[in-house]
Amino acid sequence: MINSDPYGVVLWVVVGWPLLLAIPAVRRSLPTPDYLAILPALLLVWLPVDLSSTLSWLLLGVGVSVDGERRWVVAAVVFIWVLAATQRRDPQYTVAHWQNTLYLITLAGSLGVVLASDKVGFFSFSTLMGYGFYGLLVCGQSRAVQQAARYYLICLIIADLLLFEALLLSAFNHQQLSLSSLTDFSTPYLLMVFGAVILKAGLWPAHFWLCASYRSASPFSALLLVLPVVMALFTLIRWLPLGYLHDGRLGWLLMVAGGASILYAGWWFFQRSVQGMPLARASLLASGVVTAFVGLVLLEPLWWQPYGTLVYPLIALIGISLSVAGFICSRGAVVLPPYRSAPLVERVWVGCGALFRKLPAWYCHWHQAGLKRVKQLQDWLERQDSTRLRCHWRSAITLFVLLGVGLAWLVN
Amino acid sequence: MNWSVWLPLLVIASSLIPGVIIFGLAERQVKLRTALNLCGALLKMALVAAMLWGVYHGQHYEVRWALLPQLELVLRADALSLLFVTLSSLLWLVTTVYAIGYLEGSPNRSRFFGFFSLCVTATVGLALAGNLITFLLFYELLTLATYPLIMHRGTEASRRAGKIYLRYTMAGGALLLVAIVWLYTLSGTLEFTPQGFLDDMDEQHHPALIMIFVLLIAGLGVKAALVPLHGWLPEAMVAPAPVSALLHAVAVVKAGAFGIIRVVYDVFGVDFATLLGVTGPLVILAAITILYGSLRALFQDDLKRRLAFSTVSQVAYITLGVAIAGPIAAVGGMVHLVHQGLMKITLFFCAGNLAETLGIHKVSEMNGVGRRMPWTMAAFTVGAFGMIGAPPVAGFISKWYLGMGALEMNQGWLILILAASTLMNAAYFLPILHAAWFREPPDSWPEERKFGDKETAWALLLPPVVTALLALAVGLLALAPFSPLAWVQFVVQREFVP
Repeated sequence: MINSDPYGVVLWVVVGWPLLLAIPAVRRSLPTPDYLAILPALLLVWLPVDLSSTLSWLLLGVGVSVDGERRWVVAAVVFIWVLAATQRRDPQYTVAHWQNTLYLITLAGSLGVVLASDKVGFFSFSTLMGYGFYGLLVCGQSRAVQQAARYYLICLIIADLLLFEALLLSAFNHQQLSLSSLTDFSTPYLLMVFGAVILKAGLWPAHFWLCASYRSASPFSALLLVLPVVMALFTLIRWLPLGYLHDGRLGWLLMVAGGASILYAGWWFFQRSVQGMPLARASLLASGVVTAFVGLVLLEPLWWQPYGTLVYPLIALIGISLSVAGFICSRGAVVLPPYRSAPLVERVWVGCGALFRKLPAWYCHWHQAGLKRVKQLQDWLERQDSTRLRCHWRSAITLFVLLGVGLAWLVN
Repeated sequence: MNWSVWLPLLVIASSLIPGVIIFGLAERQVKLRTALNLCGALLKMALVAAMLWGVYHGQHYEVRWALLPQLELVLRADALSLLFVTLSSLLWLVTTVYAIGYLEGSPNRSRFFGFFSLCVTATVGLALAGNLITFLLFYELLTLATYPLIMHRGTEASRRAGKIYLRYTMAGGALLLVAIVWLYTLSGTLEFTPQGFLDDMDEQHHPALIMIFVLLIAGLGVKAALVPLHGWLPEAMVAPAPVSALLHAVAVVKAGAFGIIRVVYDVFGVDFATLLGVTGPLVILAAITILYGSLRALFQDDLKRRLAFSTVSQVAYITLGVAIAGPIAAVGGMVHLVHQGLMKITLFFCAGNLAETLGIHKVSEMNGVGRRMPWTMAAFTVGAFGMIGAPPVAGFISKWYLGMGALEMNQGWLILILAASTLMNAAYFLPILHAAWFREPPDSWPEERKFGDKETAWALLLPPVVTALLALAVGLLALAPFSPLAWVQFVVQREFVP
């Protein structure tokens, strides 16, 4: 059944059109497909009416809608993509033809995230955007970019898993998945959403993927990096019942995370003045501010009434500002090599990544060597730069201790 | 007389008769063999469609013959059996097209297609079986029909794999036979009945019934590749790609999983099985299989072996859904029978294409293959994302219902199992996709074959693209009428809710 505002079909076109253009055969037959793909979304920004459409037979019943508040975010997405499309037409940044598919998939995903009126749709489009963006990141051929993309991918998978579990909880406890009538106040749900946002927005202490991506991304992908951050902040606003929920612990947790991100960005400002990194600092600072504000609203829900409606324009403003800054910075910028003296968390992350990559090789080696040849395995491990390994191991233990302390605090 | 009651028999005959004729055909009679294969598959589809329509509207299809005194051969089309029959017939058609392209020019094709048809006959037969003895007959026939297919290439490795397969499955069949005879002596009937036929048994028989349950699950668990009875499955990977696809998506492993569904729901009845306390251990066994399969898949460099261990893990989802013993989880488990079939057959078709076109057998050889074979790898990507459980591909729907079902039955710990499995699925599928799409291709492929300006032969390319689109469609349109999910909800409503 289609339950829709008569003009609601426009919403599906906004999402479906870029997906259609993602098919190379369709795209090739059209002039300037980059701009054409954004056209329906651009029209949506200028349509002054609220629209909605629900397709009950589609993926557990998926709906899309737009209202005055979310139109701000649609406008920000359109702005970012117009800017990106302009830059892509610059001969200096021309990308391979098949990468256009990823570009358009990411666009469709991000528009879908903004328009989704239920959690299943939101989650689906968010996944689509995430993997599309991973593809765009990894398109840069340098090892540093691929490493950053790997960090992002791992964060994305874990975050999606958390959101999926939150979805399940919400559906089970309240038998509804609409984003307009959020009723789930349970602590596991809130923590899962919060955890996913930390990972997806690159908030401290999960900022490493964002920093690594900015450090090594091409100018084009540096501009697009704004998008996952903005969408993650948007998740926080859409998935938490703000204005209705009073949760002191989570409020403090969000304020601490937001405050830590702001402090980290400030501290970083004095620590390193590396070319290209102001964008990462600004991104961290902006997302810290939004998160801290959401934390404040959770502590005192009354704050939502006067200031809540300003959050959507604020997110839009962050997106537009960062993308403009990225656009300006990217002019004449060079790709930076990854630095060696990384912060603790980043080193742990690198260590985990290395461990994960080497695990199959270790397993095979162990399998061949047999139990009697453990000594041979130890020698082999020694040859794998054991100093670095031990250093990462220490970092991992530190992280687990911190995690334990954090959990103990939460339990009490 | 109403001839429609003979439809179950006609469905079986539609693959049995072409199979028998094909055995007698000479190798050079390619067109006739192809025509027989395709006509048989299309006819079966049409007959199944007619039965689907009838069963949906309350029609009853049943054929009976006296086999022994008080033992009958029963073929019955109910909603559950049609779920499996539809999957088998649809994928038989697709796999036949694929096999025609795959085996073009190779020797012993009549033998291959003959056994191929027999294999589908046995699968459909056991799906339509109305009692345990009929089920056992077709279960054994399936073993015998699949054995020559695994050994088709005649190499040392394939002979060894065939022997291992036979050893495992015959042992499983023997256990099943013992369990069935024992059950018959206790209950006096073997007829599949909604909500089971054992709940009125005297309490003194409960220990014996528990033993029978264990024997039945062990017998069926061999084909369903439950750990530690899964050993034959990775070995059977030496078989040609269409056979692997058949083993993993349509016939053998699904026969085992389907048998477990029948035993839990139509023999013991889910409430009585819970009362006996046998569903709890089955949940644990399924959970271990899910984790073990995923973990082993993580360490395989051989693409088909990685997919084989993935099957071990994914088929256990079906057992898990059944063993959780709640209606929502049952929906998740049963719908995964179809969803996993569509996704896994896509993956095996793609693996076959890579092997046949470029000579690629290992994950480590797949760098840049997406640029050389974009359609094949696009289909593979859809299948892989489905296995991970990413929306909107079919796997997401299965995982959703399994998770909800676990919560419904207060078994929240299973969410952690599903989450761990999802993480491992991502860990062994995403590196393949990364290598295929984002790494630079090598200067030359191991054994490249040219197909003009196309990436591979159309008969090899069409089936994975079609099944990938189906996997996407059944996920995206999950709530549409006549989707697998809608049909499974119909099954659960009509068969399992008192």
